Amino acid sequence: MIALKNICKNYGQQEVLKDFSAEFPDGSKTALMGHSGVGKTTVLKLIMGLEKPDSGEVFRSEGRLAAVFQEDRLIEEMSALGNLKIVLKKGAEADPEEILEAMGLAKELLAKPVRELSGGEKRRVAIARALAVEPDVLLLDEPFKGIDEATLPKVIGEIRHRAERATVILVTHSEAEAGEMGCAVRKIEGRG
Amino acid sequence: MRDKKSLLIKIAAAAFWILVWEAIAVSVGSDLIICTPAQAIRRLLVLLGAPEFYKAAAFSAARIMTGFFSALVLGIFFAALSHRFSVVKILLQPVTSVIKAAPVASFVILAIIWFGSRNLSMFISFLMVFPIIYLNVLKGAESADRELREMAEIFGVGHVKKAIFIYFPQILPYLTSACSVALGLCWKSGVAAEVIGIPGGSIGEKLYRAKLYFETGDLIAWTAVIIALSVITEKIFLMILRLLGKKIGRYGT
Repeated sequence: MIALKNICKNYGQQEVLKDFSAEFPDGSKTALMGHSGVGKTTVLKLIMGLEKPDSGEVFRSEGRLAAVFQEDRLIEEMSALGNLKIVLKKGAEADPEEILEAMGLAKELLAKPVRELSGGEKRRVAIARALAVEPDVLLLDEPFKGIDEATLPKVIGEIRHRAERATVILVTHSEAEAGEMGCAVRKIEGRG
Repeated sequence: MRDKKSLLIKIAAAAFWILVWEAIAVSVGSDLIICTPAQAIRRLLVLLGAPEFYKAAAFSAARIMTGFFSALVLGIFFAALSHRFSVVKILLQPVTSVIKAAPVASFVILAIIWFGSRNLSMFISFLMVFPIIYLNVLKGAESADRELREMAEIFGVGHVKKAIFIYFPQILPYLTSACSVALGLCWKSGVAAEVIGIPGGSIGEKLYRAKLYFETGDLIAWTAVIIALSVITEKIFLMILRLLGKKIGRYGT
């Protein structure tokens, strides 16, 4: 269970969230939608603990957390496989190679340094990394940016399959993406 | 082809300066003041044939390298501490400033008083290298990608993995340039300390005796040996760092 209660958050003089509340029950799938700058990414950052609210409370029950950030946040000199293995705990059951291939990445790309991959391929590595940890909570911040239309259904299918039981919060501007991900849409209006 | 041309240019430049040296030595006409390149090479060959040469090189190299590696380990350790705890950074700031600004000779004399001269070069090379490694590694750690650090935090990446895979690759360019400067400096300062402290059986002692008896050939030959040792250790160490960087990049494949 994730809950945000009466959150206020400002960046300097700019008010981003005002008295914002939301609940995300275990296993729920939610798409946060709204105009740019209304605080969708801030909500994810508050849940991740990367930002602290100015007032209000954030509650997240114990469990594995994974995220696809707006940026890929991959170690560019390292291979796709390395980027996945680095986040895996000792004895983890996930097979990074299998997940990456399921994301439509060709076998010969897996050992290449990530910097040599295209934007869309990097994005798929970032998604594969989040799925590899078998998360209880999966936060996706515009995860499909740069992924071509032909590959997108496969990627969405993999997320839905591998994060079936996870609480998923997706930030997107596309209602179609939200629908394909099986997410209930939660609109964020300006200032909560 | 391009490499060959660049090598030829380097050889030509070196040959030019050797000719200048030869011309000066011939015009001065006194090997007490300056010997010819041929005389220096002859002295070097004589030195290379004597077991004492290897003993002196080993004596100095062991101490100077011990000083270097101690400074490397402690420099990285304290940089990590300073990055984590700002109080350590504040405490070390005056220390590194003093070490950087104070004349080496002052430390040499103090060290002779405190410890004697036998391990003087070890202490001095440590002192010269520590601030360079510490400050550069700290700078590298502070400039480490915040986004990657956050990613590691969210995914619960352990401290060791974080240090090796997140911090080390970003510190590596800073560490490489620091080590390149520090390795040259530790040989220079280490041998300079030996010349002042004159520990028996060291390269510094040989240089001191060469100065004492106006053996310019020996002086130049030993200088060539110091340069060679400095270049060799630098090349080997930087190669190790490069290989380490590559090995980390290959993780998981």
